[in-house]
Amino acid sequence: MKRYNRSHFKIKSLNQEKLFNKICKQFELYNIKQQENFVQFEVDETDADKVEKYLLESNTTIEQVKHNGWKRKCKNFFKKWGIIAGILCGIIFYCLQYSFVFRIDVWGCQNIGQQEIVKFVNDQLISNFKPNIDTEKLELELKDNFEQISSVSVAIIGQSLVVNIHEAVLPEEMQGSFQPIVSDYDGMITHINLIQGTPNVKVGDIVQKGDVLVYPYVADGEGQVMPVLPRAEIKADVWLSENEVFYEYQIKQERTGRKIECGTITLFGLEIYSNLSDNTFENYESEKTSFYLTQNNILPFIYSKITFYETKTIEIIRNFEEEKVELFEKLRQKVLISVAENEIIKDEMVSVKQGGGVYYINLILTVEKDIGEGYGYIFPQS
Amino acid sequence: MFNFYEEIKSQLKKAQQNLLASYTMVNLSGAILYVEGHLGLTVLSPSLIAFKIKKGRVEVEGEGLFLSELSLNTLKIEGKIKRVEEF
Repeated sequence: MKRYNRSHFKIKSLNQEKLFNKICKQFELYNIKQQENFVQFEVDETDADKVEKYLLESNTTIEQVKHNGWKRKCKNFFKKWGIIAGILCGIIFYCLQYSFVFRIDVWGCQNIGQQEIVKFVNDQLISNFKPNIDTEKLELELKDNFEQISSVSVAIIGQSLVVNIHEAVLPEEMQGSFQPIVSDYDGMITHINLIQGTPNVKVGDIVQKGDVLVYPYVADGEGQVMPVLPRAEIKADVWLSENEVFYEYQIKQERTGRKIECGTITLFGLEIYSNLSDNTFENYESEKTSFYLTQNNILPFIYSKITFYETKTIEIIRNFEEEKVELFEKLRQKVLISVAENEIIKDEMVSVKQGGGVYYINLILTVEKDIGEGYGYIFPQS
Repeated sequence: MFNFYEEIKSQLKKAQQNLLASYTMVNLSGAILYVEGHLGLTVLSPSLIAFKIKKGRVEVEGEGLFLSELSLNTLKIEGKIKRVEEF
């Protein structure tokens, strides 16, 4: 028998040897130790009660009995009716409450209101008792009452009633109002391939950005107007332009690299510290920056830094004829940003106007672009 | 299982076997004394444990002695065993 399943006795006896001789005829004894007036010994936990009874019958004084082992602990535990009753009540309560649904979860709602579904399901439920909930019937009722629902599944998971909804995908015509196709650029119409809708322009028309190209409706023989999604491929010669001004003579202020820095520390507008030094520059620019010295707002110290940069005046004299090629290329690159890779540049025109040493350069590229390709914009009704 | 003591006894003559029927005692390094065939305790103290055997008595002297096991005819003494004497 393992040691941890033994019971420990501490007794007081006048003739201990005789006592042990009697006990050992019926039970096995372990670790018998004599200590002053007491004797300690151990017996198997299963024999403990019998030994104790025997000791009492033989008028032996039992000073202490200590039971070890899980068997005895279990035995003692099952004698504690209060705890057992509590556990039983807990189990019963858990089993009872597990039979009820306490929450309704709705998944997959995008356009349908989640609260609306929850309210509907709550109204349909006779009780929250799980066996009384007919999920198939709930599914049918949900489908019948909500047109937007394409498919629905209702399941009881734990203590939740999960309603999983798949909303119906409505055709585009039912989703919202249509907008006309409008021009994205200024230009001249060169090609129209109308698929759907009513055209507002024809080949050769000059249009401006924002002009309506195709209206979002069609009219039948009786004059009935029916809204449709406008579709068309429309191409136009678009004029893309950029301007540049060139000065032959210019005066500029340039920093020399010398600078003077000074600063002040203020608290609630009062100057606490100042390091203002004299600005000795004849021509200068100044920059001022301020920031809080501390992160908290208890003492908002503000440090203001002023930097004076010395400047000098320089004259720039340029020659237009020498720089015009570079200038035109720069302008061209600016225009080409708006040109897509597959678009054809039909024409290129540069105009230069001069007056008092100033040149106004204008570059115009004629590009064939799709200006109203695709569909009219749709704005959902909601 | 091979029984060492029984094997020794079986090799003796019957008369001798009757003499050996009293007790068996094994001393393991002076730390454990195992006894078979005791007839009851007579003294139990940390320095002396005595028990009866057939036709006599055995005294075990030592320090910190205690009976680690006691049953109807076997016992096991543990502690510092200094002397074992049969009377």
